[in-house]
Amino acid sequence: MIEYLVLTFVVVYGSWKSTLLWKKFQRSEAIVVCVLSLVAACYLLPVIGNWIPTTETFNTFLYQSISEFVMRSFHIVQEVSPS
Amino acid sequence: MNVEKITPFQFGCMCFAFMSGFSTLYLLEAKLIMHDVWIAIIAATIATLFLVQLLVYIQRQFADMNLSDIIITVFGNWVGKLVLCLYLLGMTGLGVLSLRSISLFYTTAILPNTSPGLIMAIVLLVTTYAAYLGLSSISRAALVILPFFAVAMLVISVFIFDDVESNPFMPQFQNALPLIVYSSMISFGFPFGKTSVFAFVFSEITNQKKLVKSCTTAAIFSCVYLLMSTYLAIGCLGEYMFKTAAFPFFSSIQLVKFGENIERIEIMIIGIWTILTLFEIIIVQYCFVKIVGRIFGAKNLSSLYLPVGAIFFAVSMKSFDNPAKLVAYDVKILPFSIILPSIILPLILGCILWVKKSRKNQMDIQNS
Amino acid sequence: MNTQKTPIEPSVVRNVDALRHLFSDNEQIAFHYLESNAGSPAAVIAYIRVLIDMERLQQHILPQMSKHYRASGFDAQALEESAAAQGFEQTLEDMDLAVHMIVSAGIVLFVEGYSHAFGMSLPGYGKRSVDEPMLEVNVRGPRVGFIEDIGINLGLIYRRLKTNKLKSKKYMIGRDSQTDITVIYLEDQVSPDVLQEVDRRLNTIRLNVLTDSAQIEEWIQDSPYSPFPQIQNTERPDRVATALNQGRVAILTDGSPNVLLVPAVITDLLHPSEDLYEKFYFANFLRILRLITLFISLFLPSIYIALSTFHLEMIPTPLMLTFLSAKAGIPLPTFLEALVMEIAFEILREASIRLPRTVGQSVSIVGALIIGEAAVQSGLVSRPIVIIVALTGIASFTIPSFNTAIAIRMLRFPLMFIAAWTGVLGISLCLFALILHLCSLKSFGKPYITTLEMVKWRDFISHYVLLPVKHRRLSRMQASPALRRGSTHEDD
Repeated sequence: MIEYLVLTFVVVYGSWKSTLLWKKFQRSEAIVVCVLSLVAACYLLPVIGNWIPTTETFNTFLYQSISEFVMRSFHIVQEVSPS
Repeated sequence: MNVEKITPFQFGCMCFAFMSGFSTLYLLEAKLIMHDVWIAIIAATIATLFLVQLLVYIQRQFADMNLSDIIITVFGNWVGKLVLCLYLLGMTGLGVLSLRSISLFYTTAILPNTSPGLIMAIVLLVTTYAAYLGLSSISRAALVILPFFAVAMLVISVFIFDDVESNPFMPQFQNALPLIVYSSMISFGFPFGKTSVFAFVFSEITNQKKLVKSCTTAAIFSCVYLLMSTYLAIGCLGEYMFKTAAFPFFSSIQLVKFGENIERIEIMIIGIWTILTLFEIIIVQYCFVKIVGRIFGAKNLSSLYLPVGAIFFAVSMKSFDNPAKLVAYDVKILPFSIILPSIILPLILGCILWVKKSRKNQMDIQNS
Repeated sequence: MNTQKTPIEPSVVRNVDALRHLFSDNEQIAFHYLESNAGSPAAVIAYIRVLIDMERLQQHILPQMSKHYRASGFDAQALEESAAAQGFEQTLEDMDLAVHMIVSAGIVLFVEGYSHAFGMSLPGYGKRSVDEPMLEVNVRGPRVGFIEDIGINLGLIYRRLKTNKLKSKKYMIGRDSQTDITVIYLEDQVSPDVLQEVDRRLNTIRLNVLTDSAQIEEWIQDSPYSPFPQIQNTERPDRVATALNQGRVAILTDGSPNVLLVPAVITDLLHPSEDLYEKFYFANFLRILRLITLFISLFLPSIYIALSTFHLEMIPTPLMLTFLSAKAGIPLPTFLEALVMEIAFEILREASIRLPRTVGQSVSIVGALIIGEAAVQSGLVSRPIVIIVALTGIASFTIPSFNTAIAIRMLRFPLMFIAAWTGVLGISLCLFALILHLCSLKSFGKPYITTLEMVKWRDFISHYVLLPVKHRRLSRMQASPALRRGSTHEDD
């Protein structure tokens, strides 16, 4: 529910603000608002949002293997027990 | 939007609020090595002090420039922007972790029936407003909050101290060196390593000569606060309860009673603590907008704060959908993901600048 | 009023025609002719009947002038001398000045053959006498308050500061009202930046009719959309004298008993002038008490809602059981209970202000006692909520500034809503947003809240604590460089 509210807000704000800035000849600002709103909207869309990588998935993909290697080397795999 | 510069004292207080906000939430490094945690915390603090020296060295080479501008000047336009994107990624990660942590804490301990999305949305509304107001207002707000926080924490600590029966940092050196090193990495990842974010606001401080002093003082105070909290939490809860509690320091505060009638004081403390945690999200949002503005060459940034807030919300909603993932990420991924933006990139930047400076000096000597 | 510069003609008849044209369809304009020996008009006195002192004009000024004019053998020079003797001291070079004199309760004399006129102020409208202020009532201290006449108000201030360093500057604002505004300050205490800013902002005001200082306040304050007033207003001359001595600037408006003081910090709005007349420790005790009541009036209903809805475990067990038993059988949730009672309280308060004072008091007492009791008896609301609402209402009366009290009353409602929605988290976030907002506010470039960044601890303390009279600094602006510069640029 809250996701759809924010999605609606982002779409409305993004289109309104970027149009306003474009008309004021603040083209760079208009583009940035548009891009940022688009990124936020994509994440909040029901199906597409789940496909887009997040910082969690991106960093896990990058550092998982390094982390496992280091933990194995340090013999600390068993000792980390998140509650 | 307010673009006033802030004093080193304001900056130091803000830095402390930024580092200490979440630092006592999980105490993961303590769960790993218990009695030897002080070594990890002190080691992480020392690493932070070196990092501060490095970042200030970089800033001093370009007195009036923002770190974003410095990066683009040193690396060139496209590589520089790519590096800035890496920082954006790191900042999004920090913001998402903070948002998820605060929602996890509230849904676990205080408001079990409230949706995490709602909590994150209202937190972001406030932080977006704060970031929009600018650094001057944020730092002044930190100055208003900190005295209340300090008094509340001191009072609570005195009461918790009554329940501490033995020194929880003894016996010492019970863990192997690799384990202590890894705990130091965890401690550096959370909370000390995020100091690198602050380098993006160095240019907004009036007296740059006092940068090192402000940052160092803030880091040392954060270290003391973290050590104190860990000491009290382990000492009060005992080893087993400390390891099993999701939020050990919060659990130790729960044991405090003021006389017969005021049995539960922790809600009030949490109210003040919640405010302190927001500084991390605010600063990250503020720097994020600045960097985005630099990448796209936008001058008027006031209209960017809401979309950036929405991005933080959206990414948070799609990340860490269960608490175990969040804690596992803090323990396994964060100590490594923090290295690139907080150590490697500043080191490269510092080396390039040092080499350039040395060459220039040699050229000057040759010319003269 | 026509603002085009029109010269005064040497012909009295043409000047009268011009005035008739300018004041067409205005039956209050009157002309009194003085005829020459040939019967032609030699001079005319123009005025607006309802504005001037008709008795003095008809019984003293006109007979004296006519008598002297006739006695001198209808000589224009003698007429001019007679006019000067009667008080026509101002020479008006053009018709605009003449018109302004007429509309400002003055009389204007046009003499045949003269291309200028003579004016004198002869106000005859009613004024109330200097009385005790209605809103700023003190137990100890002067009982004098400003009235609607700017001249008398200036006199009340000048009487208290007998120094040549007290300076004033006049402005005229309002296209049609042409209201007199006077800015006063102490030359050696005031910050030049503030003075310059006041001048700049007053010159930006564009209004047709200025009837009260509230319009100026809204126009010139830094953040007009903030609920918190960034300009202090007072009805007390002693308060203005103290503020001027602190290096602040006072703005007086003709027709308004409220004098504006700038810059204003939040502590100015929370401390009444009476603090200065009490022993410093008693005054400080009251200041702490007022801070507590400020917190109560803003947060008490929301904290009660949050605790009773989300955090019952925080309430001590015996108290919780009392609350729960009182709540048993009440159909409304706590939030609605509080909302209904708060709205009822606000309605009662509004009614008691609007009604005549004696009736108003009865309404508020009857309303509070009977409606509250009836609501509890009928099982609509619980007893604790009546206590909470009453305590909140009484606490809000201790805030000396009426504008600030309104802001607090207004903010209480969204806070209650947030508390009902997200408990202590919502209250914390609202508190933080409020702190941020207050930290972002400025009054004429000066920070609205004084925080620890001030250079000297003593200056910081003196903003919140009333020091013994021997240790108080003369000027706030001199005391604190950071505040004087209105910035946070000062290095620590």
